[in-house]
Amino acid sequence: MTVVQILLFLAFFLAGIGLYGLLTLRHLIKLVIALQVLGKSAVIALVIAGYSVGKVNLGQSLAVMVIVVDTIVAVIGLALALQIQRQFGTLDASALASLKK
Amino acid sequence: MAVYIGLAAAILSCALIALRASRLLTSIVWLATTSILTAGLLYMLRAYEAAVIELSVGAGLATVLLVIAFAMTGDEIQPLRPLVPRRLSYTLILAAVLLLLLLLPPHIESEAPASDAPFAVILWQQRGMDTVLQIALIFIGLVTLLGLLDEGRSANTEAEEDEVEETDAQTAQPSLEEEMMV
Repeated sequence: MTVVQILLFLAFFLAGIGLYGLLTLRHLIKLVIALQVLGKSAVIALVIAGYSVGKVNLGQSLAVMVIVVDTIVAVIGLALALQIQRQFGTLDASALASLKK
Repeated sequence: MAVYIGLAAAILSCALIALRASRLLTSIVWLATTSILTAGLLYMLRAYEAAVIELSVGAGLATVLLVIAFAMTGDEIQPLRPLVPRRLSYTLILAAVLLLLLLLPPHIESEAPASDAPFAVILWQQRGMDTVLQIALIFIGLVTLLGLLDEGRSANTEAEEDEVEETDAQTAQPSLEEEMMV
């Protein structure tokens, strides 16, 4: 097994952990943390892809963009979470299902 | 090879602990640790610029933002029942990971020497439009953030004004009753 294969497995399993967080967690800030974990798996995958073909700088330029966009998503997600807590008094995602009532 | 395996295991462990921790502050600290280890891995893969940005943004800025959000919201007791049933979620995650593994190319070049253009040339010349769009996205995110926070502040101000009007109305009523008594 090569280094590239090991790190690709890391990226895939890290994406699986992020998916696990998105599916099972209900706390809004923890959902943002799960999104951050997913973003890190994408960053690792992009750098590995560039490393495997000998173009590390191309891979890391894409990875930098993913890092920046992921941070913006986290900022807006946290702001939305704060607003939801002000409106509903809780950070439980199931409390947003007000249409069911 | 052993270093990469150890680093991969550490990153996976820290990410899993970050999501399964019961306290929010513990999750934030473990996420910061995951970011630091990821930056170290990127540095070992010769992606120096990405490592620095991951360290400063992922382990620095994101951690600060999460801690500020935690300070404003408090540590709510975590509910135990997941959104999706656990068996279904495990099945879906396993299926997704297996699909990704099946897409893995059978032949992967390993440790090829880096022979591409410099990072600055790629970022500003070859992918200049992507960089400009990224900067625009940052500004859009900031404006959205300001709008969201301002909406919350104006809603609180309106609520306070309504309370003041109600207390004024309540204090005005006894004086009218007194006049009628007289």
